[in-house]
Amino acid sequence: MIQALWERILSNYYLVSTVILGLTGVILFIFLPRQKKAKPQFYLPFLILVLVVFYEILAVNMIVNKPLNERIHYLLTSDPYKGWNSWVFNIFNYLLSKILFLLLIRVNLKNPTRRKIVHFLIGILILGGIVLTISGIEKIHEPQPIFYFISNITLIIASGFFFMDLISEDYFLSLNPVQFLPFWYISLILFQSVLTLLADVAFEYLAFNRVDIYFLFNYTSMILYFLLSIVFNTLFYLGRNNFLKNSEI
Amino acid sequence: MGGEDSQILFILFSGVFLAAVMATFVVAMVILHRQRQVQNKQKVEQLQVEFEKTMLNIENEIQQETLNHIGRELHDNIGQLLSLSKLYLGSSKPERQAEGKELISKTINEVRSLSKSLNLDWVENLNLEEFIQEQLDKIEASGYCKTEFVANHLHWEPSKEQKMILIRVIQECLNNAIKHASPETITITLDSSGTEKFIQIKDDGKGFDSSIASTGSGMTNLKKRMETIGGKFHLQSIPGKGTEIKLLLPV
Repeated sequence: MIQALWERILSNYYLVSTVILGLTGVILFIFLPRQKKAKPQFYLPFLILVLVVFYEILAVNMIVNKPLNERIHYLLTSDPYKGWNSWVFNIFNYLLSKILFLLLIRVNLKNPTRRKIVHFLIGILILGGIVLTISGIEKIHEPQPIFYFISNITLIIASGFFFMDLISEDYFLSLNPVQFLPFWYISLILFQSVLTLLADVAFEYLAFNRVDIYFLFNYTSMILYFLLSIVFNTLFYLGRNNFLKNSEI
Repeated sequence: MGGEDSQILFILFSGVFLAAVMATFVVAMVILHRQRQVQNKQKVEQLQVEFEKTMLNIENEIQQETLNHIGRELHDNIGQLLSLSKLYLGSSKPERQAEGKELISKTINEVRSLSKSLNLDWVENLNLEEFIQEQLDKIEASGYCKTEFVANHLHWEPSKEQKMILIRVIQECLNNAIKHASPETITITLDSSGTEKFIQIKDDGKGFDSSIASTGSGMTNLKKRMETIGGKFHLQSIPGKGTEIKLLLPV
């Protein structure tokens, strides 16, 4: 079983790069000073990296280890088991990782009203997920296009808030956005959310009718996540939010 | 098949279009940020020029006042001491001559302390609380009105520039109170509230309707001066109920 899992991981470049960048991120984070580790600007990207490695391996494991997947499936629902691992992505990717991304964007916001709205968006995301699943509108073990739409839209709105802050808050006046790491990772989050929004909303149609197009969007999303992991690793390596050496930010 | 192809084309086109919109959005934000930085730089430069101009005016005013003070001191104090010394030293009595020498020593000390006030270094060592007390003592000594000073020991050390502006603004406020308000008591309070320190100058004089815009430039100047050091100038006055001025400075 473990052999099959390894083979599956090693045959997928995205998974290999995600695991390598995840491990590098963990090592770099360990070497950060304690006071920096306690800052959300650092521990949130760390949690995201760890979570993504965790659910990507779990998702592969659920394909390889069918009996375990079936057991978990029947813990979650009484519907017939189809062998899918959608529940892994529904819970860990579209709910937990998006909450972490929203919190990370919130940390970089300076406008108190926008920070509050992001809190509200997190509430909507959690509530939306619970209501859609409990009401049976969307099943936890199947693709949830409405929930994907909500999660991506909340991220797009929150990213937009960051750019609004960038042009309106005095805090950002002294810095160059191109040298500011949150600018890069929030831009990548925005791009990823916009592109996956289309693929996710049209998931059922694309996954069952035009897998090639679905993969095209998926690969783009993977490349964006790969770049995002590099930015997070750079953040841990530099130990600051800015490329500038003398920057306190 | 044709319908399916057009759907695929639509999804692909939407993806490319959205990506292009996002890229334009991000680039536009960076450009707007850059523009704001340029505008801010210009504003800072303008404020710097204004600040330097205000400081120059304040320095001139303080120097003018110092020269007046020196003139008065030379005439009323040092001149008198020297005349008396000349008289004593010209006397044949040794005790008078000794007194004359003592007066010369006193004059030297007076000249020394007077020379210190010629440059503005004294402002740096000035204690704001002592300065306010001194100003109020002068008013009270002239018999014009009663004064009161409430200082909640704040251990506040403003910068030299802040002190210079505060000195002039406080003096101007006190002059205005004396000239126009005919108060019985002037009270100055030095305190803090939240993230700000404040100096409150209150009188129980005639007062005026502060809701009517003033035609003079006095209050506007005081307000501008406070703004150049990042402070605020608040004035509240009611006819017959006196005037309250608050000079606020962030900590």
